[in-house]
Amino acid sequence: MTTDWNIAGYNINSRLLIGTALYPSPDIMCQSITASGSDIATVSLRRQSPDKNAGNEFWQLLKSTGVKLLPNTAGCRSAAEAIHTAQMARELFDTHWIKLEVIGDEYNLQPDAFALLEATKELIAQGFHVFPFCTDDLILCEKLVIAGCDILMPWGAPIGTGKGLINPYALKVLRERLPNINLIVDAGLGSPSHAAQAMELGYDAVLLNTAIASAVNPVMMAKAFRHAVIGGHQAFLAGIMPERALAKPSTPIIGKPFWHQSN
Amino acid sequence: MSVQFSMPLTLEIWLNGKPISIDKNMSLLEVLDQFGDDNQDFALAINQFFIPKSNYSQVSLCDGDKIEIISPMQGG
Repeated sequence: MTTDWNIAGYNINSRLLIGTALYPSPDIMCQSITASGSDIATVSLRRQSPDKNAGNEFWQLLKSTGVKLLPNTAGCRSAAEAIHTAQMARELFDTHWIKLEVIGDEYNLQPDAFALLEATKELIAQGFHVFPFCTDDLILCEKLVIAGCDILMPWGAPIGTGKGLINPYALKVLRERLPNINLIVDAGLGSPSHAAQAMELGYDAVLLNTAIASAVNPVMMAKAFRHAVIGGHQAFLAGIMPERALAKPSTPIIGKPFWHQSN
Repeated sequence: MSVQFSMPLTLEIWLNGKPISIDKNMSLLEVLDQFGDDNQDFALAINQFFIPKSNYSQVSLCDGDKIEIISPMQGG
């Protein structure tokens, strides 16, 4: 258990948000969510398939976990597309939360900063609580805050790469410049140490999916991330020692035996 | 010689990317009843505009309309 945390008016314990895609089976997805200790899980939307009832089965199973749902606009390539996807998500999932994704580049799935800001303004005007998936660009993040966001989700690295924090400096600057905003590193994390690193920077939470779902043992990896997030957050609260250039003995020199003393 | 034009009795619309023919007087609710599946957890858009459930009964369909029925799925 970590310290209580309020996000979008919702008090939760876990600072790990988890995705629901890519698991080997629905049962392992549910076990992983439970093992992660997450209070919030991301979901998405797709065309209803008349040939099978798989979507409904997934939905019923996910509801049984009791987690709070955060729908996303994955796959959207324009502000207009993201806005109407968000509107459908609000009705379907009965929540005004939306993880806003507007992808601008197919190669690295980089968010389109301009379309993201446009969609954010419109959705906030329509009463949504927007969780924007953004880059670590300070100016974009500041403009999203001015638009009304109290949560930002800068990427650690491109989605699904598992590279970890490719620009810790930029993430650190965001933390320092936006001290009152809930900052969540979203995407690109590969191992629990990446999550711990983000939390040690003072981030409020991390959101990940592939790193757990694609592990050899997703349930065990979910536990590992759970502990890493708690450890990283507690390390931040405890105050990490400053780095030094030169060595300094940790063992006191007072009372050393005579044979260690010169002359 | 006179040419007679007859009004088409059907509409050609698209449902989740597939073309279907419906009676021109068919309502949206009737289309959903006939062509949708049993899953009631869905949201709907026509021509990329979201249609709230409360408005379904007021919607009339036109030739070429593109209906998208959306369900929950896994996401990251």
